[in-house]
Amino acid sequence: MATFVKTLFAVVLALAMVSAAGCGSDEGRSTRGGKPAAPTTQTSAIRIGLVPERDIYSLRGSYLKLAAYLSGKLDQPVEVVTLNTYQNILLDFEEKSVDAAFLGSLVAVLAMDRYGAGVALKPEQPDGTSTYRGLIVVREDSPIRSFDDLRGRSLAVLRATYAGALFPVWLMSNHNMLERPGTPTLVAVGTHDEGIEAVLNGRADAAAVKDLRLYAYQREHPQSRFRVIEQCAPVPNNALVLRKDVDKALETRLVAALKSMEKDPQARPALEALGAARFVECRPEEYAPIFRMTREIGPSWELVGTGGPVPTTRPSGGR
Amino acid sequence: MGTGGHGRAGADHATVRGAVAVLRRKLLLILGSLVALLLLTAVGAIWMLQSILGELHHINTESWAIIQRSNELATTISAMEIELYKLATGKERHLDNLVEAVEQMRAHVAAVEKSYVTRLPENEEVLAGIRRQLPAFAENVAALATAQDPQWERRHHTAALANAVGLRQDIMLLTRNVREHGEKEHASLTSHFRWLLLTLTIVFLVVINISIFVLLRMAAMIVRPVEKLVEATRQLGQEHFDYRVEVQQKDEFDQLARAYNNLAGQLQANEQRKLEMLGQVALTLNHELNNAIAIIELQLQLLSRQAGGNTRVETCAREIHESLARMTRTVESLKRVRRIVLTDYIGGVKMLDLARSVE
Repeated sequence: MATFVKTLFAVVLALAMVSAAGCGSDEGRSTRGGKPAAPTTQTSAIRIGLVPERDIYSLRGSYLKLAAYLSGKLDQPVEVVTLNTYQNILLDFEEKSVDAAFLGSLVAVLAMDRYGAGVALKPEQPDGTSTYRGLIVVREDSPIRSFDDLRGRSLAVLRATYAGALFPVWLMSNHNMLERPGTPTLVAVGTHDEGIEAVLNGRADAAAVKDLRLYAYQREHPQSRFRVIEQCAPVPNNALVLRKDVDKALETRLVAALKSMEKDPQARPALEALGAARFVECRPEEYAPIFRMTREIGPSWELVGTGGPVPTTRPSGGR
Repeated sequence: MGTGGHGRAGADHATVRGAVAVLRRKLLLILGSLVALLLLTAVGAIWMLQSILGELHHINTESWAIIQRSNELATTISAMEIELYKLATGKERHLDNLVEAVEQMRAHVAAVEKSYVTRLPENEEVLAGIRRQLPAFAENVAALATAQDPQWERRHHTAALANAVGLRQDIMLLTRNVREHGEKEHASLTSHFRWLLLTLTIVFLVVINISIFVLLRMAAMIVRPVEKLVEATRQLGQEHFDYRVEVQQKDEFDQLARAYNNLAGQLQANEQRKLEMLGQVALTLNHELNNAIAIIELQLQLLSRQAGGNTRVETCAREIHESLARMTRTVESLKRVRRIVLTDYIGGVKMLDLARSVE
């Protein structure tokens, strides 16, 4: 009887150890979102931030596919961290809760300016597009023909974005529409698509939107007609920005893995989900239009809605 | 005459073999039918029981799966409410848990929708409510995720919370409805099961009684004529060739009885022919011996007169006379023989048992 009890105890102990080992091995292998972690080492998960600009569910799903691919390729867990505001992603950079992030152009500039982050790669679409422009659009049947016609009218803006906030503020600044009677009423929207719809349903006379989203919207709604009255210089679209102090070896491996995706058949589903054909190099100089605009608008920077000081860094040298 | 007898015997033999084969087939058919009836009844009973047990299992698994799903839905809603609270209070800025909860919620609702229980009339309205609230909730969460304007964010946050509360109420209602429905169906099936058991018991009793009745009939059908045939065979063994079997049923036993009767008739005819021949032999002996005996008797009478009181001669003459009388009786007996009964003589030779043959 005593022998049996001892054997049973040994079996239970062995099972417990195996279970503990199994649980341990599961940790850190996840490619899903999670809580902020300690700064990255070679063995811990790589955390990539994401700020959705449209349908959060499908966008996150696309980046989860990319994370799953990278996890396999790097033999290291890759997690996607979804944030609801651009301020929060900057906070994650500050707190080192993310190692990298796919960022809109304005926030990429802020990350570079405030936290010394470096821009590495940007996705290129099958048609060769890797940049986007900000547009000021009105309905096709609108009497508004130029930006000056917007005096006393309403303009839908999307805070903390280059196309949706910085560009219209810069335009208003250039057209002396900021501190005079007749300044357009700014209608805050949550996404570029909401800005487009605000114009269509008359909530706003014009909207400051990203051209890629407008074209996508027009493909989905061919009956909608718009007139573009202003457009700005192109800047990189959703580039991968890496934290300043991220491990250099990891950075090299991550960038190499992303760049080699176009040649890897296994990477095709992830690339297709992102609507990209490949990842190409991205240089800080490509953000020059943003740096120029932020410099030119001066104190009106507050209207852009990102909070914090105006970016002062000059775009120079890529990572 | 002899050839005709052999032909008839051969035909009877074939008839018997045919009758036995037919009887064997008939017995196999009856027994096979009984076995098939029992098997069919058993299979039917198993099928019906299996059907009921299957339904019980189906109800158990479906209802409890839905209840479990509903509980998971409620847990997911709680998780979403907690995440919304954390987001609102700034304790959380990552949306992953919330998005995953919404996706889990969608998966749970899709799974719940597949169940027949949710298609019941009492659940239609509840499910419609869930279908209405869930996309609204997901939209508000999505808007919350992309809203850069604090006012805009607050508005969607409040709407998402309202949707979560609505979803929770609908799910609680759905769980209650499903539980009640499961209990009702369970009670109904239990009652059905009880009645089925009772019915099956009655059916089995009926089938068993029918089987017993058929087997008894079958036994009577076989045993009665077999007894008659056995008795007839015994009679035949005792050389009672006039014994005949009468079977009332028109079947293979009737054929066997007729075959037996034919055989007995043939044996009786053979016996008769032998008796007739014996009678003719007796007549011949009677004729020939009577003449000789009459002459011997006359000579004896003459010899007695000439003996002149000699006692020895008279004694001899009397013994001869008695022997002659015995011979005459024997010949007379031979004429009266009704059947042939043999008895042992000497050296394995048989002789006619005259006393028994005239009985």
